[in-house]
Amino acid sequence: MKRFCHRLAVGSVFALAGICSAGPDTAVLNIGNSAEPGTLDPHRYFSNAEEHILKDLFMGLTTMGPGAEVLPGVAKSWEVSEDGLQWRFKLDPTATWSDGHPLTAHDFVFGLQRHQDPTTAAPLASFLYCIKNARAVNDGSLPPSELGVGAVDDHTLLIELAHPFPFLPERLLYPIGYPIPKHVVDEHADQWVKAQNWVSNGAYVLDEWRPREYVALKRNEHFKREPAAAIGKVRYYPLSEPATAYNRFVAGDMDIVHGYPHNLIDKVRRERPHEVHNVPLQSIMYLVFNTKKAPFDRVRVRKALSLAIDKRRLVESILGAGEQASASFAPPIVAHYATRIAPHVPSTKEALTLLESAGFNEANPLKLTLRYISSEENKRVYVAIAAMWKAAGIATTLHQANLATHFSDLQSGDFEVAQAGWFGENNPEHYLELLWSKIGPANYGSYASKEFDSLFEKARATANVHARVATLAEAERIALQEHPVIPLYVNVTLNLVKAHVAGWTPNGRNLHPVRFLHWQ
Amino acid sequence: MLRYVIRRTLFMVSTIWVVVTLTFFLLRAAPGGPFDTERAVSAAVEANLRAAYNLDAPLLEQYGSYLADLLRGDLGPSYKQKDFNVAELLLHGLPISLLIGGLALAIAVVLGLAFGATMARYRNRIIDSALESFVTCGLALPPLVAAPLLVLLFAVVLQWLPAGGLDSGWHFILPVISLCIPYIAAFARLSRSSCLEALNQPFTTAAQAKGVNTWRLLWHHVLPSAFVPVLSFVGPAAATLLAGSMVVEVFFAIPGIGHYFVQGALDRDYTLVLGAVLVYTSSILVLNFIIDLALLRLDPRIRLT
Repeated sequence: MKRFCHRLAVGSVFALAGICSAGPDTAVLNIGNSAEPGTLDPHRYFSNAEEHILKDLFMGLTTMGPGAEVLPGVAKSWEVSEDGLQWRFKLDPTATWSDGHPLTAHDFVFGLQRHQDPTTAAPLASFLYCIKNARAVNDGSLPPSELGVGAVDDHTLLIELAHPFPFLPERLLYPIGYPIPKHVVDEHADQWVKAQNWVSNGAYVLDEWRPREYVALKRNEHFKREPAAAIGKVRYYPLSEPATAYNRFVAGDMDIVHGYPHNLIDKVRRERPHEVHNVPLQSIMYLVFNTKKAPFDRVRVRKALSLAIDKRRLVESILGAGEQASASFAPPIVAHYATRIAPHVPSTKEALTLLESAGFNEANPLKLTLRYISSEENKRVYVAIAAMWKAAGIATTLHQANLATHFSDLQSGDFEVAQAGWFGENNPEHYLELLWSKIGPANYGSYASKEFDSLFEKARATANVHARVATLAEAERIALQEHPVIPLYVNVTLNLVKAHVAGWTPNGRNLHPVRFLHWQ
Repeated sequence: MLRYVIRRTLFMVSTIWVVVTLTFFLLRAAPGGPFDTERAVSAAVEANLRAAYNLDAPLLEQYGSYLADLLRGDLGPSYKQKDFNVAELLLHGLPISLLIGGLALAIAVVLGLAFGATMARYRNRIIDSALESFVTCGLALPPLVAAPLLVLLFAVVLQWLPAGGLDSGWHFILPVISLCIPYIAAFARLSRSSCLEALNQPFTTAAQAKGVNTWRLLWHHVLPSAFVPVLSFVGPAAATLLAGSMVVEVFFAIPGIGHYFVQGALDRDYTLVLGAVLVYTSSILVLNFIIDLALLRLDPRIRLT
């Protein structure tokens, strides 16, 4: 017993002493990512946490500037045919992979075909259905070789579209448009994503990936674009819990974090005014009605519920991180878009009148279940909305669920009114297509309007961006007259950046390529 | 003895099969699936994803192929962490959980025994009351409460220790303390009552009559006897601590395997949860078996049945 206890004690001390010997590497930029990446294969990517890392590892035909603006990437320039269907990209002839292998148009052809190949099982394949034959290739009706992409020569890529899509350069910013090193995939198959086999064409290459610990990147010495990466090493830590991210930032472990507890906003603003970066995110948070379910199939009921919500109070008193109330479904911050939606004027009185005309009153109140995704922030928002509805005589049952269950219920139509959100691009079409009856399960409420569909399809067939956006604005006006959704607010980024990291440009996409950052 | 080992091994294998089978079907009965996310995928994309992971096959066929793969030592791919298979993820996380859980267990056993013996030695005196208060507080401080308090004090206010991660040995201190506090308290309570029971046995009275001093009596005669019930509790405690703690791992951003139970279930990452359940079940069964063998050796009164 004595010997056992002695060994146990000595063993514990040695174990602790041994692991205490390592020290921090101060030359590394430590970034708190919002989650563990699911993959570093650009074609199988799905989440924002993956996109944060992939934008440093790869460069597509177009690339993102420090403010998330669209810049030429591997393509030095491009030309579009008059009908908007043929895009000819001239590639940089000096572009290479990180192993020195030349990067040609054939790599892009291989990448785009692989992305639509059903065996790749790309979750975001539909993002490039605008390419000719993409839908048929993805559902297995046509072979990948039939996709509308081709290499005219080593440095010229031709993309043929199924319909005009002037936002293609922005769409190609997503990792789904990145090239894939065919010579490496041919050799290593699915194992090409392992650090020991890694080859990419971005400012950084994968150095090491320790699951749920960190993803380490190092400078790609073959990257020739300006600015080159000033910071030699980067580590992305998966910090899914905002409190942990905040603690580690405050303790000095992290240089950048992409989230902190929403209830600490005032404290953070007060104590860290030069480190906090809250800007509107290109996004829309909204409530969706199940338009196939009574009484939410009636416009006046949906309108009454919309009128009863005071969005300004929601963003100013309940949230307060800089969120912006929105009357339009396309976020009011997207570029070149003048919405035709009138500002939202809440009116409990008008809501009561509408409900009365729909047959609801004190004796027969409207009862509904409002579903939302479990989180402290959501709880505050949806309890407040339920309280606003209560003032209009509506009895709300709140139902919270985790993300997977919530969206499973939405896609199967098992809801009455539910929280939803969408984010990403800097154009209105990205958001308004969620109301198109042919979009599929992303139109959670199964809203179908012939007039909206007709205008949306007209916009889709228009190559001129200004005419297209004007038609979209009219389509949005038509749709929101029927209130299939209640746009609530534009979300906000919650970034903390240490003062010794320079070059940070707040942007609505909330993506910040590390090659634009440097030590102060 | 050999027959006992064979019987226990067969019992362990059949228990693992039952647990894996129940987990497999319960996970599939849960609403939602691995591809339900905020960006609804198109029907063609969903069909491709289901085909890629064999989720389009009938459920019984999926179960059969999972068991067949399991027998070959293949735990399958992770649906959410696509660049790793389940075995790679568990093999990466398990040593970390073992190290943190092992340190917490060692500290809990040593301190728990020491506190228990001291409380028994000074029964109903001020030291006993003081330690009893500590033990009561310890039992009321699960990691969910202890971890944020420790981080607030030592990482945020004093800035003596890191708030999370595993970059150096210092990073292990707060998670280990958060984990071991309730177990120190539990071991202290258990060993106190065992020591008190042993102190009332005739052999201790005889030793006292022979003039053995109190600490020697405790160390050489009381503690070995009192250790038997403590050891019975080491098995389940070790399985819980070594298999990782979701709360501690998430709060301190530690890449152990405890996280996979809860996050895997929330993400509907079926194979990952099954793999974690397999590790946890096996740990409990094997550790209980080892403890039973150790008890057999420590206490001659225990017989094989």
